[in-house]
Amino acid sequence: MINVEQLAKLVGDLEEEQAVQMAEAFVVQNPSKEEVEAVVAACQGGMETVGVRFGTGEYFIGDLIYSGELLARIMSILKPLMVANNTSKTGTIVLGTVKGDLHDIGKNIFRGMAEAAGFVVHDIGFDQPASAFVEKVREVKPDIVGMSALLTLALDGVRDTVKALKDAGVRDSVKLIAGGNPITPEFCKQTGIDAYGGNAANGIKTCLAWVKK
Amino acid sequence: MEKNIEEEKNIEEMTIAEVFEEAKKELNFLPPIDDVRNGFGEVFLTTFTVF
Amino acid sequence: MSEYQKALYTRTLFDDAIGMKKEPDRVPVMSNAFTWPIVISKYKLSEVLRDYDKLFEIWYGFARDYYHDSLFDFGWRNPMRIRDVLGISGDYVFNDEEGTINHIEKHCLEVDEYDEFIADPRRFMMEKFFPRRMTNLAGSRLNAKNTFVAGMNEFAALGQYIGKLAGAVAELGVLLAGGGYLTYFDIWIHNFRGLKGTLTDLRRIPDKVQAAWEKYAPMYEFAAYDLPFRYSPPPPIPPSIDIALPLIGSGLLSRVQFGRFVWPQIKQVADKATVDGKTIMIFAEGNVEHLYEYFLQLPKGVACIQFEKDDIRKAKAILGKHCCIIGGISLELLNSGTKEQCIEETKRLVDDLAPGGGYIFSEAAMMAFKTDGRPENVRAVTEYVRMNGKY
Repeated sequence: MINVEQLAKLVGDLEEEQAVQMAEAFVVQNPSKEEVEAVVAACQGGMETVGVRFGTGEYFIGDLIYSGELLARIMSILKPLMVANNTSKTGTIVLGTVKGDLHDIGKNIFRGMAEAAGFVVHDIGFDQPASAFVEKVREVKPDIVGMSALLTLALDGVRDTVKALKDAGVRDSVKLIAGGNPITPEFCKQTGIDAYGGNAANGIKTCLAWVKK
Repeated sequence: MEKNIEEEKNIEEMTIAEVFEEAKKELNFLPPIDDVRNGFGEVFLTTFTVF
Repeated sequence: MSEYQKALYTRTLFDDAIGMKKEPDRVPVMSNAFTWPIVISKYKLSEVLRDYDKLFEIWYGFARDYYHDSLFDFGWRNPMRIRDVLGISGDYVFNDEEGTINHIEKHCLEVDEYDEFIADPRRFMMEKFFPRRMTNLAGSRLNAKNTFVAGMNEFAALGQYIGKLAGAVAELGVLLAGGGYLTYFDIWIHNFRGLKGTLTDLRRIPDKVQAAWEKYAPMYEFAAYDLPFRYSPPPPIPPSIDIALPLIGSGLLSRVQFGRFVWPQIKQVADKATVDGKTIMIFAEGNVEHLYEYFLQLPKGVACIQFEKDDIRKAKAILGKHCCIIGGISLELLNSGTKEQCIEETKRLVDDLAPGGGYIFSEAAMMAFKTDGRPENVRAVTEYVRMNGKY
């Protein structure tokens, strides 16, 4: 038995030690598949709270980065249960930071949250040319492609990736989402990206809505 | 010749901190004043802690 | 006017703007150009940063061709010759085509080594930190000694270049910004624990981090403050501002975290600078509106603050009576606007922000890429302030 509301609150409050203790106590109880799914959902809910608080200015970028670490730690505790219970896959995402950009913190936060939400994430890494995205899309046939960019200069990399996916004839088989500091809703519209990522929690919500259709 | 080999042997037994002290002795662009050379050394190390 | 008199005039502009006691003769202009003048030149970035003759050509040309009163970066930001010799250059990835330099974070302190560091920080630095960072210290001790000697010789050569540039641009009435002083947070994120590591350490083991910084402080304060700002004779040509204090990662912290982990050090150095008659330029990356309550606690007349993403008029409204504000024209406008649009915007900024003094004009963000501005626009706006910024 686990108090999922309490867990969600601890994650949202960034109370790492207490949240970790709850997760560790939970795994030794031999929980059911439904209970595992509820716990993962609680983590998601907590991360949504983090996103909201970041949006209102209560949390800052440092807190956001830390939340990624907290989530990663809890997910690593839950992982054996998730594998064992074969929790259903929500969808598949190919994720990467575009060419010219070595930043990956935001991408990694998104990945952690996506995995928590049940997505299988193929993270191709940072400074990835458009061809790398195309190759991975052809290989794993994902539902969604996520592009991350922090440098304004890397916006060209985002445009190139979208074009390359079109040229390869795979653009229409996926949903495109992009996030990072220089990415704006206007840019996404202009570039033909399906959704603006915003903060990771919002991005995950969008992705979940896509796969549930 | 023998003295050089001896000096080299000594260096190899030194800690990095001691090696740094030896290095400061060879800063020929600075006057042979300990305070000046030590100060320069400190600024150098601090600068390249970050840069 | 002699070169020294020209330099003194420019220094007085900055002193008056920062001192907040009177309006300066005219609005001073601080450059926010980092690698921009290099990437718009015919040279490659990785080449110029290793060649003091080319660096001199670029930065002297930049001082001559535009109307800044002070340069901020002039090659010290990426001292590649020294990094090459020490074996640090591997951490810096160049893309000459795009004109970018990416720094790969190094963790020269592991999370389980805090106790060791706290017990004897000097020993840790010498035995672990520097060998990890300066990869050319590896091998024989003789090799390590030669690496140190070569590194310090190159460091002296950098100093010579800076001195030569300072003298040459002073002829043009242009000064260089002074020496750097970093917060322990910014030092930590660079090569001790990285950004993620530091942020998580501050959450998981904050007392250990603070203990580490406390033990590190005497070493740092001596080399980064006392020696350059208290014990060294003043340089022949004054800098525009004495102490450049970047707030790079610090702006990522929440108000509470900043107050706990960063502010006390800043307050301390500001108090020291007040005693020593030195001026500080706080260079804030990102948006730091959540930290204004702290800036209001700075001693008055010692610091100017460069804002990047803040609403500069809001900053002036809240902070303007207490500290000097640096800010100005957006890079987007400098890059895609017409000359007329840029001048119009500059006029608006000066009209709104200059009255009463306590204002320094600058480009709004670090200029690093070709697309950060067009030369004719940068020239036009700096010329406008030079000609029309008289009080």
